[in-house]
Amino acid sequence: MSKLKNRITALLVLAFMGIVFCLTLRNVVIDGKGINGETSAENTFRVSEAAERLSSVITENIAGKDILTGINANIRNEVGEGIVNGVLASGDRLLYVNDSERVISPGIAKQLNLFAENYEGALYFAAIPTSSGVYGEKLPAYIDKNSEFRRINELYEKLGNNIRNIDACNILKTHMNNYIYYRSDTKWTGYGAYCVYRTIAQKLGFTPSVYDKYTIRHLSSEFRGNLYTLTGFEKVEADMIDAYDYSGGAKVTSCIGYNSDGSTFESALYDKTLLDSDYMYDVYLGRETEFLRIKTSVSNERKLLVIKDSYGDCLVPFLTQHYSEIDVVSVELTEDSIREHVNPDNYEQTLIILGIESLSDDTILEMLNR
Amino acid sequence: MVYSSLLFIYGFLPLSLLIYYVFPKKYRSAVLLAESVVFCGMISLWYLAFMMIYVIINYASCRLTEKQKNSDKHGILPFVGGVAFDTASIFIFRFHMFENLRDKLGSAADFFPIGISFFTLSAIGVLTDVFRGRIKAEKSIVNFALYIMMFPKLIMGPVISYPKFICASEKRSEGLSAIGEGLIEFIKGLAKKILFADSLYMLWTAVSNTATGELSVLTAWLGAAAYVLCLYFTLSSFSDMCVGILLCFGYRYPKSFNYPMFSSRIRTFYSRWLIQVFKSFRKSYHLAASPFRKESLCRKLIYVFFWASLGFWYTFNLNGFVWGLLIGTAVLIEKRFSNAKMLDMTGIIYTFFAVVLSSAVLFGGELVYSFRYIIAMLGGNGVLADSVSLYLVKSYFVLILICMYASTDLFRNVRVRIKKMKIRYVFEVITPIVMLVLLVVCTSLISYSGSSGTMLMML
Repeated sequence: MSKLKNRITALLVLAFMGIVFCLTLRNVVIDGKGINGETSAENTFRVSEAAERLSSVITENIAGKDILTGINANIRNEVGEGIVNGVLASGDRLLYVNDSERVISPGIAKQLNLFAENYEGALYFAAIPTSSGVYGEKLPAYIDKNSEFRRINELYEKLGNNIRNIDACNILKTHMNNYIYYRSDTKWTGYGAYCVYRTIAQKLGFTPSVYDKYTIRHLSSEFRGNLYTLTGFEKVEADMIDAYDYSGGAKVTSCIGYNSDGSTFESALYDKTLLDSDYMYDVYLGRETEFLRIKTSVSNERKLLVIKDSYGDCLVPFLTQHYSEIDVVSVELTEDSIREHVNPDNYEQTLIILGIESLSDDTILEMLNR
Repeated sequence: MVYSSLLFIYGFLPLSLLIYYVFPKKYRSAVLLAESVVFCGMISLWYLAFMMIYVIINYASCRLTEKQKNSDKHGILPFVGGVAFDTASIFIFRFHMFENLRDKLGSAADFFPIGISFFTLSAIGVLTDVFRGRIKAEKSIVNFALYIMMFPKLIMGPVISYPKFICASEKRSEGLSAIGEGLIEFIKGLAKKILFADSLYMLWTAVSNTATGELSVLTAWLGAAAYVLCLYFTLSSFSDMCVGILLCFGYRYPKSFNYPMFSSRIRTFYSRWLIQVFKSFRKSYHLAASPFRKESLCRKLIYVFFWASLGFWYTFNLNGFVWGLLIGTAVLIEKRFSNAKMLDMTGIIYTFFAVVLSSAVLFGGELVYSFRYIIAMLGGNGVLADSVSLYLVKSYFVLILICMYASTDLFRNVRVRIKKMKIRYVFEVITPIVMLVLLVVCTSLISYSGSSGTMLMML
């Protein structure tokens, strides 16, 4: 009987391994995720990069990945703290636990101060916390719950008087019971951006647009963000992607994106075609680009330069009510210098809006001073 | 590539089994060696080069030792040379003082000859046996290379003597039944690593990220207990996986752990922990202590030193050495009371607490940290329990209970009893399904990262 049991086990397990192997191979052939990495010849002898690549290709394309990731999240949720790949998957939202990617690099203050010294206009700066910063109370007891706020305040203290700081942390904390952050992503929602926009607009010298005058269009209610990708935890409700249209307000007359080769393309404040993309959040400000020029029907001839990362994407639409032109530079995509696209001195006002995750990159603002 | 990776489970293992069984029996040793070469190469080509050189030098040393052991002049040289090479290798790769030398040699920072602590014991063991005339030097380099670098036992595999290896090799029972038996062991090991060790590691990480000055007594004990259990499940899981893979290829190796947790004596605990390693060190102790009287001070000092060297083998730093000194002294004291009836009743609790407390010496990078941690465990911070400890207890209570149960022999005893009962047929029928479910669960838990590499000790 024991031998029979062993034989059945062998057949069953080997058959399963074989099926997974074949299906994974099929996925590799069809999708081929992660298959096009480059191997440095210099390092081939140091570490077997080819084997590492093979391992990552198998991991990316393993058969039934979505189902397996979901099982993983559910097991971790039942046993232990419910932390899956550095994300707390319990309760009503997913929260990033790993603190190391939310540490502000010392070079950030230096670059901002240097830029401010040479800039003739008014410079505004807002550092935006992740959902873990605002909903820190929900993190495990041994995690420092105020680390993001503390780090942002420490950064503000290091900035010179010629930089006008915008305290997004406390505004967001005040509204934390509202839908200001996605449940499955680290970023803020349109409403979260609106809450901070009100303060920004006042600092920029405008009366903020009244919330009631906005028509909110639910573009999708099936958004699964970056934290969902890490966990596959389906118990947390899917998020909504909302578009904010100001009825009776200024209209966007043109929205042109510039490619790195100088060619242009038509973009939009909300590009619905990207609802089918892997990351639905890309709907805001459309396809990723280094530089975007938005012209509006506002006739005050005022121009604003916005230097932003993805957090700025759902804030910029609110600002279109106040400027005839808004030029948007994406720090994540600009490799060389901001002056490739614009001369900051041509703008009376510049708004830098960055999430704390971007601020952990020491070099991200070097483009300001090159 | 480790055993607990998707690449190994769904790629390397089934393919290597297929290729192994496709070849006729007489070529299978060579096939297994070729697969081991590929396995080493897939970890790192540096590793493969190192293993090749290591095997050739040890093979040559054994042959020369045998050839020259009877000659008066220089008879000992090949033996001493071989042992010196093996010892130097392990020191260079494991002792932090040699980091500069490693850099100068040009090896990448992430290159480490995995399993060096184990195959060095094997290599020195076979050299010693040849030198003492217990065995003849192996003529077949294929067999010798398999003994040192056979991939199923390379990562923390059981250390067995060369004659036992030859015996296991000659009595290989290959076939579907052996593969099934091996896969059951392998999946059990995999589950221990991924379900238990990795979860316990998260608990240990949560505690170790807290400053020692802020630890409550409960948190400190939770952390230390998680560390010991995690260490046990990590080491024993790799050992089980090794034994399982070896079984798939027909080799029957002994297990390295015999349910050490909840032993009633400290000495018993460690004699059931990495059994073959313990035996190797004990053999050296008997050799060194044999000239002295049984109760003499010298013998006792050697005994304590034996423990200290065992501790040093684990960590290759001062912490391990101090840990060994403490355990050695504790065992000497324990021997005086080993007959006390009180220990039969309280032994399990006393041993568990002693093992957990002493583990604090092992896990600190520096002795100062360990000292502070022990202070916290003994209530030096003045807090018995806080919100962190209550949160951790709430989150990990079920897991700790399951792990404590799984680490005892109670589960094995239940299985043994079932096998004597009528329902054993049900047990036999559900085993394959349970194994498959476990494999799916384990796969899901590593489906994002691709492998379970947490707390991979540099052994």
